[in-house]
Amino acid sequence: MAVKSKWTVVAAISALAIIGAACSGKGGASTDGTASNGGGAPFRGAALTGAGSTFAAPMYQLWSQSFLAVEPDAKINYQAIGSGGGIEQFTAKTVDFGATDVPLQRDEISALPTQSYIQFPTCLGAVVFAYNVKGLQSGLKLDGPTIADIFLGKITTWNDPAIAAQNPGVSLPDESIKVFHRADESGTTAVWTQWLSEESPEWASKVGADKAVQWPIGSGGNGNDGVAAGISQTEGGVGYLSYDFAVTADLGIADIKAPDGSYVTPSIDSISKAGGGLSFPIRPDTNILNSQTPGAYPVASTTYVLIYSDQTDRAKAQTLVDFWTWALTAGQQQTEQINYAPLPSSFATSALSELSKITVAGAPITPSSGIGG
Amino acid sequence: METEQTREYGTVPTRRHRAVADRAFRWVTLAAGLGLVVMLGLLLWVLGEGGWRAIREFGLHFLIGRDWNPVAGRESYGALPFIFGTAVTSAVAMMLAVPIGVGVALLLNEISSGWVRNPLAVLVDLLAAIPSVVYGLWGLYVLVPIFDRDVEPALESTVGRIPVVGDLFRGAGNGGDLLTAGVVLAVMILPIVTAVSREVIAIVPGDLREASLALGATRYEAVRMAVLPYARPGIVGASMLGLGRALGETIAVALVVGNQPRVGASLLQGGYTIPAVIANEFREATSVGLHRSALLFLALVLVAMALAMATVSRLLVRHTARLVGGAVEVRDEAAVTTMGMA
Repeated sequence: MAVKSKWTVVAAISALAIIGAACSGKGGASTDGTASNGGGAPFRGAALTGAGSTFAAPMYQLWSQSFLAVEPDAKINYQAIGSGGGIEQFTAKTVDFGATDVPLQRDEISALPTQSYIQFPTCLGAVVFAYNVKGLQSGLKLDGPTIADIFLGKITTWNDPAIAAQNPGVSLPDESIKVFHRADESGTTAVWTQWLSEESPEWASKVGADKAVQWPIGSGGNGNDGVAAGISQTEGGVGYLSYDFAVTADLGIADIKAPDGSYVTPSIDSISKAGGGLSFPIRPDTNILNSQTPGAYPVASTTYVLIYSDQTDRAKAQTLVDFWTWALTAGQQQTEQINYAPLPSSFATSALSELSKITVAGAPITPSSGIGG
Repeated sequence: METEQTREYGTVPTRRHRAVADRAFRWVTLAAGLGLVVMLGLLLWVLGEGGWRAIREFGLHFLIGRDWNPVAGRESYGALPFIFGTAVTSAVAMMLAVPIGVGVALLLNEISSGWVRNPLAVLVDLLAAIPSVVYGLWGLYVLVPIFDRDVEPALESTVGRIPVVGDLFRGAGNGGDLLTAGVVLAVMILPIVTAVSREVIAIVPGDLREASLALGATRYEAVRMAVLPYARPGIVGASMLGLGRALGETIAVALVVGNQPRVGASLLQGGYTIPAVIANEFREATSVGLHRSALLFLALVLVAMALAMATVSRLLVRHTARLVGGAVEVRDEAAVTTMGMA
């Protein structure tokens, strides 16, 4: 008797739990039925998912938060799994938009299920050379070949003549340089190694450029924070970090030599100047490294968003167009808050025209009223 | 002939009930056992299918290759640095944890005063409760700076000078290295080794010790000649359990090992282990090239290493049990069941 009622209770609790989970699982679905622009209630947005670049993650997360004020039901879930992961998920169509720091390469393009997609930049950032040496402030002057030699292991001490020649008057200690790099794949690594390949033929032939490479020397850290932790704990440590991260990490940041011979300090201003080099359409080798604009930071980068042009869900397509239009116009004012740089206005315009290629059942989607310009 | 009888405590099952219950029990346990085998098979299948492209491309050469180059257009993968790192960090961990663990186990058994024994036992067990990632963070923020600044230069200038052994302690680098990872692993496997050794030493018959003491042995000699040989199969089993954990430890090692694929003599330089590289790279490894496939092939290699280690440990335990004279069967079973490796 006692046994029977015990099992009844267990069965009842399990049933309740299953029913409860099923009911709550449905929450968060889009409430919008019509996606008309103007006329009737304003469009409230639909839930979206995106994945990819860790570099752009803080920016997209801030934008998603702010966009809720514009379209309250547009809950955008962005997962920073890295540019490579973002491209994989985009190819598998498991996310609504992908994010990558490096444009799609030829083999990735041919792996896509359809060739009708759009790729556009959203904001600018940069990769900086960070160091931790007692007595050395930010602003050490270094050029590309020197940095490449440091990462190749050819320059091993701080008072090496190559470094001293570019920094007259700075007392460099006789300490060994300890290199840190990324252990995980990253768009930051891709940008950095691409720049090193341009600056040093030996680097280009020995190592090359990709989201992950076979580093000649150095310890691997996981993520920007792993590298920053390594550098900050090691006297004489150096490494490369994305600009927004380095600013908050309290490490020395180097001034890097631009093509015109001057040494440029990374800043929102110098990064924005580099944006002028961006050209449409985006090709596999598009980059804004070594920009010719005077005062532009040489290792600036941009980050891209990937969206399929033929959408099937009207609410999602409308939210995609609205969100990215907003991000490319009103959202650009928020970039500097978290140490990113806005796109030059001409490129924002070109990016907006890419967005106009999004269609549902052949009909193009235009931004809801009140968004964009 | 039994009939159902209702007593104060409950009903007595009939013969038919008992037969049905027995059969049901047998099928359930058989299903559970087969389920485990099926799960292992599925695991191997998934790894093999995912790693097939790399297996076809590199074959057994993978095991001795030293490259790990994911750059598109010059992809080349080899597992040797990772096998080396896994083996070395586990070996360092064992060499530190087994003597200390067995020592603590002996201490816990020899000391009769509860106020020392109980807290000590609790503390060692607490070590097992700390999550692995916390060990990794502790290693990264506490151990790595101390090792880089103080311990490793000291080792390099003292032991590093000795002709042959010194090669292990040359060239202190920066960030994490194999030695630091080995030390973190040692702390992590210490509770396992201690707990199991303690149980095994506790079941050594008291009259063996007392007999050796009666014959004039000192306390140390009694332990060395009577207790330890009897407990040796169990201690070997405990070490193998610890080794199994050390081989598979991922996050803690990834944070402190330096993440440099390298094969070399020095323990003071960075290295890489199979679980660490999979944890670091798998999320973003694309299947466009061979990267993801190579990582899955590496996982297969690790599974093979673990299975080989498990087989060797079973044979070793049985062999050491046989070496100890006396009631071999009783001791064999006790040792094996204590370790749960049967």
